[in-house]
Amino acid sequence: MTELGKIKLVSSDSQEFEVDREVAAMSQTIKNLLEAIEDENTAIPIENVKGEILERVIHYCEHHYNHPSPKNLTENENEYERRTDDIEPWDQTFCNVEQPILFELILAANYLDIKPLLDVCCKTVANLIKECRSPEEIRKRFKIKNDFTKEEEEEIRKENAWCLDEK
Amino acid sequence: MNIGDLLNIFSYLPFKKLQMCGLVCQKWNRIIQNELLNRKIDFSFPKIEQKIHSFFGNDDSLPLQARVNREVIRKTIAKSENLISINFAGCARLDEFQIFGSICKYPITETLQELNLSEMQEKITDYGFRNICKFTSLRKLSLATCAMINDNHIELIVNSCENLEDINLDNCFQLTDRSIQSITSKLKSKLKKLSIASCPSITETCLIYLFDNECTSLESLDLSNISVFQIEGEKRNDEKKEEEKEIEKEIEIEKEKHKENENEEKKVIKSKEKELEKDQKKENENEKEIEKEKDKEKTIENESENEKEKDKDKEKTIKNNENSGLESDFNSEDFEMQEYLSQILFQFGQACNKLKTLNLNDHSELNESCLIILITELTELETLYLDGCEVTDNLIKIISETCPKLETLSIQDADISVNSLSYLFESCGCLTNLNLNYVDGINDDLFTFLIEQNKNDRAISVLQLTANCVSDYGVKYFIENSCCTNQIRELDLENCLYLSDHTLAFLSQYSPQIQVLSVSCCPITDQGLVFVANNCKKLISLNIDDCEKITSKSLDLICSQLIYLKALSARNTQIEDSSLQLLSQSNPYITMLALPDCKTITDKGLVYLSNGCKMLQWIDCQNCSQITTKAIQTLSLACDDLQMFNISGIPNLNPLILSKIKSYKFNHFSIELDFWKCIYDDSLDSDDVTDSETDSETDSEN
Repeated sequence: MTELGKIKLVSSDSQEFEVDREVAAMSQTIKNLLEAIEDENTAIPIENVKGEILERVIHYCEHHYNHPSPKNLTENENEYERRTDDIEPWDQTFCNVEQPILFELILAANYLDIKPLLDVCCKTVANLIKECRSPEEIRKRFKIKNDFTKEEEEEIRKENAWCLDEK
Repeated sequence: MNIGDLLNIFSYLPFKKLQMCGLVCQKWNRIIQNELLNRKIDFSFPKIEQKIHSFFGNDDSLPLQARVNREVIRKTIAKSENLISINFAGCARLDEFQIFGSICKYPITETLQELNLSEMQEKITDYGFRNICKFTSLRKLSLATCAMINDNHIELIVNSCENLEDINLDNCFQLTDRSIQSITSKLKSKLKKLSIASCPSITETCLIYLFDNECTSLESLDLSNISVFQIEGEKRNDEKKEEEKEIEKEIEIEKEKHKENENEEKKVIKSKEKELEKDQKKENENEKEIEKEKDKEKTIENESENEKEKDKDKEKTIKNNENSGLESDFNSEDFEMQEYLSQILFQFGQACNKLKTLNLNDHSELNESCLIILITELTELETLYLDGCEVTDNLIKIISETCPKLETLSIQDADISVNSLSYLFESCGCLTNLNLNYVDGINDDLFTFLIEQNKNDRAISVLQLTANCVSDYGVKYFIENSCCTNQIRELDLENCLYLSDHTLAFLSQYSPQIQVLSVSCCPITDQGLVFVANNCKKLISLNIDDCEKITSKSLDLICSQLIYLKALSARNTQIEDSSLQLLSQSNPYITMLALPDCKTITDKGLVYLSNGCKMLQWIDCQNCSQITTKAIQTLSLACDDLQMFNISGIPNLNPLILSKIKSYKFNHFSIELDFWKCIYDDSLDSDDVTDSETDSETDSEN
């Protein structure tokens, strides 16, 4: 039995988490599920998210449920350049994790449909990319394999020569 | 990761970083080419401003301008089918025929939404402005510093581009209030952003147009440096008559709306008569009057404020204010102006109460009560600039009461006490940027308030405290106790006369994320700076002007360790050629280097720079007496993008060779740059007459 107003979430590796209904409803996906399920006590399986990640996501939701952001986050999507320097301190600490975890958080935020979490994670990744100053640096940082042939790379380089810093 | 998430991430990156990401792998390249690059193109070449901070907040890397030519533009645009945005800012080597000749051929004229042509000086003329009219879907247009634009062009543009939302006309000195009339009457509530900073012929009448034409969606307005009430003498009176006609019309409209304001009209007529009398008076008298009026105003302001607090009915307050004005005094010109201004501001504030950004820098003629009347209406404000305005404790209180969403506040030169800031920190939880340069009343109490505020989620990330009376102890206390010290991105401690190495060490350990740091004129030594060089790896701008105690020991470290540095200002320090050598080896990206009065620099140093730092755009070697013409030549030719090279105060330069470099630069790129102009400008500014003579010789020979 779960406490009143609480629900149970089950991660892909069968870990169980008890969460406030309202907190869990910050995820649009869970909110929709809750509306569909009548029995309050049914544990909700979150199949695509591991326990370790789900715990973090719940932690995020709990914090933001208790500390609503003073600013409404509706941004103009057409804005020429979206800001990445406006991450709140708590979120910054939250996103300061190993890269694999950060990427799993993005996947989870996507699956669970938690827009603020998704945005803040994407901003963090964008900031990581911003710090790199060459394609090589980016590959190294994100462990991406260079799958261009030499000719292809040369071609793109030539096309974009006017806007690449290298001399 | 799926494509949607990658797109989300990429959407935060600037254009030039995206180009780089396109080279990472096939998948990224495909996404970027297909989804993003064909929507927005950025050829811009932002001009470096003399002020070190204003430019480097943005960590975007800069393209080499010399490579952007007609061919590149044509190819890039031909590739991009869904183009919505093109940025040509500062492409001074292109002319309007190259730009419009290449872009008007493609069917983008009807879909393009954003066009930026700022910093083009005289390059865009009638031809270009007429071509802009073809882009009928434009929503965002920037023509800042397009010197040739006039009111007629603006009228043409707004008549054909009916979807404009965001217009930037900074520094377009030919524009008058008529432009604002055409803009506001055509776009009305579509207008969201308007910037007319430093347009000398635009007056406060533009505000009347703004509320008259119901530009109620306006979110951002930049009025810094426009000539509100700076008109003097006869001109002033002529214009005032016109303005009064305007306001009469205004009042008539109001009357129709509310059928209440009969008194006001009478008042205006009265005041008009009085003004005609005043016209005949001499200036001296005016001056005396102004002094008298100031006193009177103060009393009246107090009255009106008391009233306001009592019933909080703003409209009444204004009327009372006006009535009391009529009764208490046979209005003098100055008083009426304030009266008139506050009325405009009140109506403006009511109409445009959605404003998020307001810039009123350098409007010292607006008194406290005017500002209060305006700001009480603007509850949505997020960014407010009031540098050089009459900012008082009372105003700060009003700001904190009305603007809970405030993020950025700039009150340089304000006359306030530190205690009033506590209100601000209490009620504005979002405040992250605070500029308190030259605010005399600031002391260590500020830090206590800041630490209090830091308990909230948001914390100050930009703090500018130039020439304040904060002590070393205060800064240290702040750094140690604030839980959010690592939030600080920008810290300006210029002229902090007691700053110690110890505090600097603390700072570097607690805030390794800091990007902009200024400790100029502080008594720091190598010891402190070594910590900065070792810990603050993310610095992009460092200012150590006049830190006379530092030696090449720490400078070497700074030059070799801080690889993200884009701007270094080291006026009057003992920086040596060896440091420049290290800099050229470790940091090819440095764009701005200020080394005036560094007498130890020789030709050798400049040659190192010309080998390694080819991105240099701005270099200042004023009074570096050991430098010769040869090194100047080498460096000028090595750095394609050099915009400014200050060589005033250097003796024995060969004017013949200088003029050769100059003509080479210009012939090579076929378009005249600001390059040498800056040198002349600077030498005119400096007191050294002989140098400007040398420079002007060069000029004439050329």
